[in-house]
Amino acid sequence: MKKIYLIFISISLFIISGCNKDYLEKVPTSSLAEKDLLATVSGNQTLLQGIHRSTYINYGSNHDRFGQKAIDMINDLLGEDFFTDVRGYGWFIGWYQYIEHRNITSGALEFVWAYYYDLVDNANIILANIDKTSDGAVAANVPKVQFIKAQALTYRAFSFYQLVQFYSDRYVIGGTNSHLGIPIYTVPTQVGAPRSTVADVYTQINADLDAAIALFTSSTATRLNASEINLRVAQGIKARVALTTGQYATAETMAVAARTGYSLISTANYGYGWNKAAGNSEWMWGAFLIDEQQTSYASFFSHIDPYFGGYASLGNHKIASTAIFNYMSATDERKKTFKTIAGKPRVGMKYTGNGGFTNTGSSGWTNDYLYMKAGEMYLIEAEAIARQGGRDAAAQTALFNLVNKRDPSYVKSVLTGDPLLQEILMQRRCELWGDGFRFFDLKRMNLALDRNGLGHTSSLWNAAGSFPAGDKNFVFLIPKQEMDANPLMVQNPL
Amino acid sequence: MLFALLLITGSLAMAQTVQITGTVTSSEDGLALPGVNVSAKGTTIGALTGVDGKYSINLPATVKTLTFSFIGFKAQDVDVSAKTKIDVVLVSDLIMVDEVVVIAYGTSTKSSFTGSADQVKSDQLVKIQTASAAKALEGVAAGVQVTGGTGQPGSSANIRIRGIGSVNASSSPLYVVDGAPFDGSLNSINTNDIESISVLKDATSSALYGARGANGVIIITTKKGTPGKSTINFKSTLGVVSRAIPEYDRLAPKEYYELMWEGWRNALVNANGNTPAVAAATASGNTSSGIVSKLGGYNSYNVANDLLVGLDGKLNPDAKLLYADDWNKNLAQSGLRQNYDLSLSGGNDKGSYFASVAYLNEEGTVKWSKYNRLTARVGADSKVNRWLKMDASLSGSSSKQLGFVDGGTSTTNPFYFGRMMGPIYPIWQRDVDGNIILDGNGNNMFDLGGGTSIYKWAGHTRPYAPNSNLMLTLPLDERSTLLNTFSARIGAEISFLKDFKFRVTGNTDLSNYFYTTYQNHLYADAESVKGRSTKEYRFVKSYTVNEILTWSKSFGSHNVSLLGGHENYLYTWDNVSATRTGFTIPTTQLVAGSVAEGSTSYEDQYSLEGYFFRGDYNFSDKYYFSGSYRTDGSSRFFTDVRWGSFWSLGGSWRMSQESFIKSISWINELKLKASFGEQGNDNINNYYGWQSLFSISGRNNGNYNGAIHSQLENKSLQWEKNANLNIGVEFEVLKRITGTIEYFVRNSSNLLFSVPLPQSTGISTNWQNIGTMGNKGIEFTLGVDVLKTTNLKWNIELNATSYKNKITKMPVGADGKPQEIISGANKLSEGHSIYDFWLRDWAGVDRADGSALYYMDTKDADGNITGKETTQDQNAASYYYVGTSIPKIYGGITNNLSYKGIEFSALITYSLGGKMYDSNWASLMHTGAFGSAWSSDILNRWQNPGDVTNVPRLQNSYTAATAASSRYLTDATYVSLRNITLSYTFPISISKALDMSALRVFASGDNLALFSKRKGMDPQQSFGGTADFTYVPSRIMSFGVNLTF
Repeated sequence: MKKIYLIFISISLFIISGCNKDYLEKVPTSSLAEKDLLATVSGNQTLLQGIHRSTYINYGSNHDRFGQKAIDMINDLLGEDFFTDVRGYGWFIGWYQYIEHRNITSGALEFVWAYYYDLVDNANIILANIDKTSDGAVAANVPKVQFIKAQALTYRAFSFYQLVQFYSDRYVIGGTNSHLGIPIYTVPTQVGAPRSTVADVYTQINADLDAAIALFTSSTATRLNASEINLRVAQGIKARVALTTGQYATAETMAVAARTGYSLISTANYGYGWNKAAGNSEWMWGAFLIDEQQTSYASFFSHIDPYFGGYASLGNHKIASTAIFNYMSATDERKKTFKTIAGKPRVGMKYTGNGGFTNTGSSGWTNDYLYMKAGEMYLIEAEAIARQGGRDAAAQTALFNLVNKRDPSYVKSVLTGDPLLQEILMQRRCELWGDGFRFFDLKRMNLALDRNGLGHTSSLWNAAGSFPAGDKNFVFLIPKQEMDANPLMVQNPL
Repeated sequence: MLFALLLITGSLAMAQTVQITGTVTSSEDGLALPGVNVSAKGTTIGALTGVDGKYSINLPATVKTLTFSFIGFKAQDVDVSAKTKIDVVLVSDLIMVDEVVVIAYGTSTKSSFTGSADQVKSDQLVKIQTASAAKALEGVAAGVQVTGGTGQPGSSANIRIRGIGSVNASSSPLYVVDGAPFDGSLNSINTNDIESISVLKDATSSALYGARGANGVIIITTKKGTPGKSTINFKSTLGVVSRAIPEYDRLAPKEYYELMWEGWRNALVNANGNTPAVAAATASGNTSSGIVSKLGGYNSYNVANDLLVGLDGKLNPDAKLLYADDWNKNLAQSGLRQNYDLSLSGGNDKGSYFASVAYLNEEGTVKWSKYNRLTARVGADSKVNRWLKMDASLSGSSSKQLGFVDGGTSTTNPFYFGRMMGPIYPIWQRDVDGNIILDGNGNNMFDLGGGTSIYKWAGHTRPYAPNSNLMLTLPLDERSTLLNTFSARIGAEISFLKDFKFRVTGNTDLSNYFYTTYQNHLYADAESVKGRSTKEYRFVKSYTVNEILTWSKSFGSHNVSLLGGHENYLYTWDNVSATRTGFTIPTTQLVAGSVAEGSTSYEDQYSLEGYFFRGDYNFSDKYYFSGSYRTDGSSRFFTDVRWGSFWSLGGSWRMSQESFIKSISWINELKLKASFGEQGNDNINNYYGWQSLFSISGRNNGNYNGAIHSQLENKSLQWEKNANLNIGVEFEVLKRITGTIEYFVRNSSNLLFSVPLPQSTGISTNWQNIGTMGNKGIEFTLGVDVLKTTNLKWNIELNATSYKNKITKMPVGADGKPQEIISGANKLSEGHSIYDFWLRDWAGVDRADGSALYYMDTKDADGNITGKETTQDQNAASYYYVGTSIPKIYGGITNNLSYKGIEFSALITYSLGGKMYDSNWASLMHTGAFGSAWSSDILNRWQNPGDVTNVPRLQNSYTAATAASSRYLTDATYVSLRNITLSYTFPISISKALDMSALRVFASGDNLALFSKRKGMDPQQSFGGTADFTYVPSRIMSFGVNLTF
């Protein structure tokens, strides 16, 4: 019997010693704890890289939610120059039909909202923590801290700028703009904020951009590659904002400053396509996808490339309106990127090159995303000068500097006043086709949408053939999730 | 196993003993009883009868009495004085076989058990032809709801016991196999190896599982060897698998063209402002705006495109149909199901053993889906000596499942693809006469409906699912799961100090999953990237170690037993996956030279530690009390709030043991019982729910490491609590009617809630403990022995459960009012159930223009609701509570009829009341989406002003008509003929002649008939009443033979 006790006691001891204190402490391996990530400068840098990546991941399993370029595509599909003529698998059709942003339960509508506020949240976390890092005060790190902070501020400003244009009624130049904007968050929080006025939102945007530009200017750090934001990109965004708010002098200065150091791509190389940043001197900001980070069917090129096996190649081609196609002269390299494919005219191959993107067998999905190019800055400059009045020659030159590179036969405009402005705006439509500006431009200039007579398949646009200027359909509805979870939220007119 | 066999042959001869031999038979049929326990009273000497009922025992001269005992029979004491041969006839214990009930960390008997548990025995389980025991529980255990059982071979099902326990944490019960929580896959257990399944439903039965017992516990006990019998059992079953639920009724080509034309014509009028005449001409015409062109250029008739549908919207009466390929029929097959099971068992009073091997091979009702599984199990237990008992069981399985995506709206899901494919789209390309076009080798040319492969049919681009043809790609693609599992249960029990027992067990479950997802390099989705292959390997392991000390003693009429224990549990999940594209050779392997599209790995861990105590007391088998306490620490919660306490109290009163009841002859058994206690739930789909986290998975920017905010912190996150009250009565009357009635109240508080936060704050949900939800209900079981003669027996068992689920407390919001949380088609708010539908309320169709109407609240200037009106604007429509998916009553009816060797049983399951949101039907009720199939119900669409109908006008892209609303809610009531089994056991004379102890043949049918509101609808898809394009359940007709040696 004594033996039994010995066994019993030894087993009991084994049990008691078997469990140490850490037995119930478990941490994930696919995530990092806040305290581990945010305590250092490099940790904040890691979070910033995560923000960059957010601009081109696939959200959920939907093939129309791939970050910034998906929203750019929405922006153009809401206009009249960029469209498709078949339903295909149905991606984006709801946007083209003006149904998606008018449907409060739409997941795609919620994606746009969540996408930008997600960027804001992460930017706010960086801004709230970067000054508390253990190594942030080390001399060698000071420029890095400034650079990270400046990028976070720019992302926040950019996000608010995009959101306010989608989810609020337009900014009225010279108006009080006291109508409902969007909620502003400048610190991480779990509590929903009410909608600020449009004026307040732009005040915040400008404050953030000015602070970012100051930090970029004083920082000696440089960006790792053009997926990061630098001084030029911040100035470019500032130029866009100034154009929207009618501060044309600022828009001009900022556009000129922003393109400093970037030269327009040569005419001969234009047909190379806007899918590879390497070798393209005009590329200011974008995303550089590698094989394992491309999102195949759920990608910009899936929806835009008429040859490689995505949705566009299945017939969901993206077509140019006759308005811009006919406007461009035959010698315009841009015009040459619109081709007749399978009997269908004006199919855009701007991004994949006018020779057609040839699949090398290994990198068909792996293309770069363009967020900002120098060409846009010339257009802002020309428009801003023209709108300031009295310096038409300068505006003509700015326009010429761009268009001449696209079309060697282009003759410098001799127009002045409003006709000049209209020429600049037509060139803007031609130049920025597919880049994601048309809807914002319609709102910015308080224009009507009129798709009639531009080559659309009218049966596909549902009820969205035309809307008068200032129509409620130009305002996105607030997603239901936000309405339900944020008691302070107010819906736009249904 | 060998040592167990050796033990049987061991026997000790001792001096000064008397040998007594004899035969034990049953009073009922006079047949020999094997395995009867023959023990010498007052000693530990014992023996068992053999197969022939004979025994032999050597007794010291001091022994005066032999006790013969056998389960189901009354024990008998026989005086041995001066006898050497004693034959005994045992009388069956008709009053009540005191069934052993498997409970937490031990067993109890039915009479002494104060809680609520249902036990399903092997003979019932094996009737259902399934790879997963979960499916076999449907309708046979009261209070148990089973859903999600698809027809995918090798699939399992989901179970809820007595309502819904949680909102966002799991509401699934805890599975325990042979004493330890089981983390493997239920379908890795051969149902033939299962001796019984206990469903623990109340606090006293499941509280000892503490943190994990809140949603009930399902205890699976595998077969053990039976002392005295050495048996070999072989069973072979062959079956044919077919579709149990027919397809929805859908339009044929003629009506399809006509209605598509109509929808298109209406769009041209209503959305594009054309006159009806112009619109009709356009729709009938042969331009790119004509209906044939809109349908992708497909014309399955022998007339020109512009002659197909006339200006009146009618199909050309002279048109002859050239082809109408039935995709579903071509994708379907009659599957073969084979199941072979061999087991060996035996034992003696020193130990027993059980071993089995089994093979299952099942083909699905859709081609290229199948499942095969090999399982093996060995178990043995041994009384090593006076104070030590040991037992061990090892089991393993190896299975392979071949299938495809069987849920969601991916076009590679044949149940979406086949159901939604317009009837005019061919599988193969056709010539002008409708004959299939052949390629150079004489093979049929497929039609991919677009794309750029060799099977692109010029001029034809299918608007629905272009560039896909599952008849072509499913055989080339691969979606497979290899699963190898291993389970071990090892225990040792030490008896000491007379009344003490100490038991240690070590248990492990290991599962290796290996998934392959391969999209072929020739056609469809991965054609452009020359094939895509993903390999995922997952290794899941869990360890449980238990130490349990028990003490039990009887003092006269007082019987006391106490138990104390400790449990450690560690769960680890490892995952690695990689994807490559760009194969120049046909392979599913990740070969060098192909493009790396990504690779990732991670490990998750979860641990739990618990201490538990239980006490049972009864007084003269009349009054029973039991109580338990357990404390658990979980790694899911922050250290300060990690430990939770769980307890239970129960009591029962066997009134039938009282003299005043004993005198009532027709009452055989009457027991009142009540229990109350609190269990926990920590099972959120997140092992680190309290921590503030930044995801680093898939967040690198190029080659720079990246992270993104992914979860908010909540250090106070803790257990969800489940208070469980059970009051019941058990009875047996007239020696032929048994029953139970139980009333239960389950209240979950501190709900683990994934609370929606405004999306604009970044992270849109956070884990919080908020809210209270309750389930109240009644369970009823009744068994009637209608006939009970020697040869003819007829028994009916019926069970019914009814419960109501209600959220009683929601968190208070900033406005001081209880919050309301909307998730999908439900809204969580006080006073409503978790599955109350919250939708637009369908108000029918506007007679004037055929528009869809929805109800909308009217409000006064202050925003107060003053009434209701209808609106055509789905965004303006108000949302209302419009019903629940929870049935009013559900259960099953079993009929068992036997006559001599013939046995017949039928199981009917039913669920009455409750609604289902039939989104499958909704998809088939679109307003004219080109290429998508239509339900036949669309024929009732509005056509002319004044039409009274419930189906709005057809109009391509008219989305207001298809908004989610109460229109798609359908009564989910069903009655299902779940199983019929007919068997014949040959008379012993025949089986003896064949050198067998038994020979049985049987035939059975599973899912023979389903009666429900709508053809095509599967009302058992989910608890929440939602539908998906899932693998349609299977009907299995099988027959088999069972040989016992």
